[in-house]
Amino acid sequence: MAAISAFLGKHVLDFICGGAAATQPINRWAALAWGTPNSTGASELNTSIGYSRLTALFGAAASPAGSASITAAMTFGPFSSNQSILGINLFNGSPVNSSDQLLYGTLQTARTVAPGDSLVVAAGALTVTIA
Amino acid sequence: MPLTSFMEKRVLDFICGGASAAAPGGRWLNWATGSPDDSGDSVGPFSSRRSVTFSPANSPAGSVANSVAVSGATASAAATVRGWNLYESSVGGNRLAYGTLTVTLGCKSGNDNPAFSAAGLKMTIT
Repeated sequence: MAAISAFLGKHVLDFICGGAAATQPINRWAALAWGTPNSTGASELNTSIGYSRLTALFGAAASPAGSASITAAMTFGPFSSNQSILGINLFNGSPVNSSDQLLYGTLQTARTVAPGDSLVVAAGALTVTIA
Repeated sequence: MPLTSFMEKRVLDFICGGASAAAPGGRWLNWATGSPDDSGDSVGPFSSRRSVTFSPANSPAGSVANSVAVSGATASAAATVRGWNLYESSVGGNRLAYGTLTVTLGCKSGNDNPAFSAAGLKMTIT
């Protein structure tokens, strides 16, 4: 199953097929997950540990590769508690517990942060692909 | 849901915002006598592309289908229809998507008009 929310899936199909107005997301915000995110739950971290969503800026999609990647690094933290991080979501707004989920996925390597740690997602390290 | 490289880039730019992304200006269908793919449409001997009107996409199902039957293209030679292509215009333009039929259609020259009934063409996000 594609890692796209039902909300965005409808807008994408309407964008392609024109059966209804398709609203393009105005912004993209990256949101970290303590669990495995899916279309029914983002498993987003709590703000009490020094976490907040960050703006995700993407470059133009590559063709025929069919992918788009972030152009600027995102630095989450510093965190104030130990926390496992398994996944990442994209939302169309901020703060935590608001807005519409767009996409979700799991990290290639799960991370565990300790107090004082930051998690950096380097430019180019977050990629959206159409398979 | 097989999208062409052209449409994949448009969709990704629509989602991610890295470049402007204009929605297709129209949707037009023609019939293929081979299995179309990203490199070729395998268009068969049919008179013209036909306009396709889709219903609003279903959520959370993640699917969309044509709301009106798509028909009217006459075979100019005997041919077996195996697939379809979707374009953004009635002539020329960019190809958007393609697919193969679940059942092939044998068409006689000058008489047969292959068609999709309403809801017969369905695209799904998988």
